[in-house]
Amino acid sequence: MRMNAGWGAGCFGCDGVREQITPDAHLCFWGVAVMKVSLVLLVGFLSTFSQAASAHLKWFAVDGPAVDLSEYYASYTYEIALGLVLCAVMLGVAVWLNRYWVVDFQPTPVMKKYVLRAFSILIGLSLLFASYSESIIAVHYIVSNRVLVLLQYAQAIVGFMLVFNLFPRIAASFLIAIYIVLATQFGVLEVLDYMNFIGIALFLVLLHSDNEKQQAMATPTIRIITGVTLVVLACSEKLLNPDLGLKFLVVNEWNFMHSLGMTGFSNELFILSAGFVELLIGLVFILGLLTRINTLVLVGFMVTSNITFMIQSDYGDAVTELAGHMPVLAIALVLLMSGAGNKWAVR
Amino acid sequence: MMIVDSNWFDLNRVSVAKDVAAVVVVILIVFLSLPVSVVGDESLVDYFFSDRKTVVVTVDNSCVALGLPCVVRLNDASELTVTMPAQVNILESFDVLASMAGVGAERMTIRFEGLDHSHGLLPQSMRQLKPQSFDVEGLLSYCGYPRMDWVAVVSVYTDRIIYEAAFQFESFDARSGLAPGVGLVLSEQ
Repeated sequence: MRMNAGWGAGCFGCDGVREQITPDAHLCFWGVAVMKVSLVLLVGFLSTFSQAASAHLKWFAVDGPAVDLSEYYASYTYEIALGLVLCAVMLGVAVWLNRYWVVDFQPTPVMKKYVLRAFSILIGLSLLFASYSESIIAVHYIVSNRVLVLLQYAQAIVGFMLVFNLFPRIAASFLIAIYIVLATQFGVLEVLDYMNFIGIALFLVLLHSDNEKQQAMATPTIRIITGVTLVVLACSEKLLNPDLGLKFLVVNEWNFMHSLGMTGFSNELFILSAGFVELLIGLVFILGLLTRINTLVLVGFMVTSNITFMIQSDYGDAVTELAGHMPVLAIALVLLMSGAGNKWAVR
Repeated sequence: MMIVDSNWFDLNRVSVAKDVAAVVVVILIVFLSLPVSVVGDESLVDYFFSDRKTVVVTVDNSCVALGLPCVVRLNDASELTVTMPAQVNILESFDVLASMAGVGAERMTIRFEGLDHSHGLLPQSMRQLKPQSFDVEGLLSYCGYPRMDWVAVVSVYTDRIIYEAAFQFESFDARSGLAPGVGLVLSEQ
């Protein structure tokens, strides 16, 4: 394993634009062909279920009886084994592709400036949406007591500070404090689903540091924490808590496998698949493999889920989904621009 | 690459002074514009520094007599639903179920008061079944009167207000010749 020295590393301090995809020179023709096919297959696999994976189920959950997990998993032993094997294979393919497929892209200083401003603005708007919807960070953390009212005010002030770029480092530090207090109100395990806000805050703190070493850690930090968040979400909302997904699918007919003729593809199997894909996307982020492609898959299907909500005339849900996804879209902007970063990535 | 000047806390610098002024304006805007339903009609000072007040809610008791769930409006956005029997045999336990919609209930308690005879009973905490839903299983085992009128006072503790709603019911002793007693045992399942 060696560290990827691609630009992604160097969100800061690189000048000029070199946008070219450069398969490693010593690969033969067939090697390149196999690599391209593998890439298409990997993207295809990830994209098949990532639409459901990207829907944040706790935002739309409905009440109902709980699923017995042991019974649930006993019914799908082979499918789960197959899922695990597929995930392992896909990770292997991603490692292999990542070794030879280097996206050598360096943004201009102007692009860096605008992307980072867009990042702050999107995060700020997301926080403002939450505050003005009387919730903290996510729509289901509703303001209901004095501590949360304080957080609501603090969150709005931090939101404005990020939008207008006022003391972003202080604003980011306050965002970490808001998250910690939120954990005391709703429970640490509960708010782990939103650990990406810690990643966002740390990114801003590191980014606005006057130490170049710390600045170089900004992108890897946000990438890894985003990956961990996706892994946590895969477990908490889908793999270990399939109720949420199953109830969501009863209300929203998102199991498109039936329309593809696979009538035996149950909602349970669909949720399992979505969980595995979210897990895989998270692991790929953590390992720093094909970061830009992984980000594109995630963004593509987040946008698709928003469009699906709009088509289904659930305007309120679509706005909730859009506002909730704004932080992820902001992270995606940074990762698309900078890739995996030059630290803590498998190569 | 230096992104932030190390002297950025120097208020004499024009940009920092302007930024501080902008933050002050932002704080004012937030405090003037942010909707906070949970504060209600109170001022923020009262909300943060005054004690909880108790609001007694009027209940139409016909629902209890008809054996229907009683829906009590607590405020514009909240409802309390209580299900309990109209008549209680002192030999048998009975359930009181309460659920909230709207404002979050931190906890609920219930106390039973004899209308024609005080038993000096302490309030009992109701058990939380799921978020916003509580119950208690009661047994008026030491109440030996052949017939007695009661109110069950359900207290809902929210962030700022304690809502109290009283539901009238009666107890009876299916046996005869039992010595009168004064007591109430409430047991949680």
